[in-house]
Amino acid sequence: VTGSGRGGGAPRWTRRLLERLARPAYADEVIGDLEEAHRDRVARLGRVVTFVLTSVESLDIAVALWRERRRAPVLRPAVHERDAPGAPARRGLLALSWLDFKLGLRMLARYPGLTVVGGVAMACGIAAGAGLFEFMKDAAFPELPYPGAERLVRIVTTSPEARTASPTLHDWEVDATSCVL
Amino acid sequence: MPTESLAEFELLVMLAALRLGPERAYTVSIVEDIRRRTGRLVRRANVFTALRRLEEKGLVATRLGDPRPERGGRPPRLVRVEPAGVDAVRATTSAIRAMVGELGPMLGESR
Repeated sequence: VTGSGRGGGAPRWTRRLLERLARPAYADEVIGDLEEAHRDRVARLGRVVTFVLTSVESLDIAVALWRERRRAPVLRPAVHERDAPGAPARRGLLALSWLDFKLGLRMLARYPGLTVVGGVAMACGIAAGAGLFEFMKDAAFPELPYPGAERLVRIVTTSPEARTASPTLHDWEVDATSCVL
Repeated sequence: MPTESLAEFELLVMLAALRLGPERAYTVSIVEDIRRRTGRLVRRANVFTALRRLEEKGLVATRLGDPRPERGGRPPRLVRVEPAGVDAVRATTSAIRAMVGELGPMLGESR
């Protein structure tokens, strides 16, 4: 393959751009078209005008290639793999594959508006839930006006023995095995 | 299967491919043929996209030709119009002719 930009071929960056964007099956065709059109123009229009025209045209083709890549369903690999005849049925988390994860990321990137709306909705939901939790906690369990209030406990007992034996705090301290009073 | 109906640009591409034949029809030559016959400045990107679409519909088939020096040693993708494509061209041009009908003189056509 010839054509190094300086040697009469299309500018190198245009070829690299199209090489990156074209599917492998179409890369030779697309770059060959670019080279042929470029050389034809050089003969008719001169190098400067041709450089501009080829640059603009390569961007135009790059957009077409980009659209073509996006148009081809990225869903195919994941869907085909899962629905392939004889594929084992997977349930729960096993049904999620790396392809599903990648597909999810691509879909988020493809629909940025939806991604933003979903993200904002989730943020609002989390904030509302956290706020409601704090409000209910303060309403149901108000903090006592003492220093270290969270360490205060109220000890009650309903055991039949307690009514007759009437234990003191000292008895509790002696008998406690799982906490320090 | 019902005959495909072609959009205007697709019809131009198909007609150019038919005229050039399977050994000479590829993106660059199709662009040049349409430009020469209609005077339109056709974007190569549009022809590329149209050919992919027509291929997906099964109206044309493509294959890589021989590498050519004027293409930097790269091969063209040659286009062959399939029988379904010929049917589609026939159906579309027939519909246009039927709709034009007796309006030819009004549209400035010679007959």
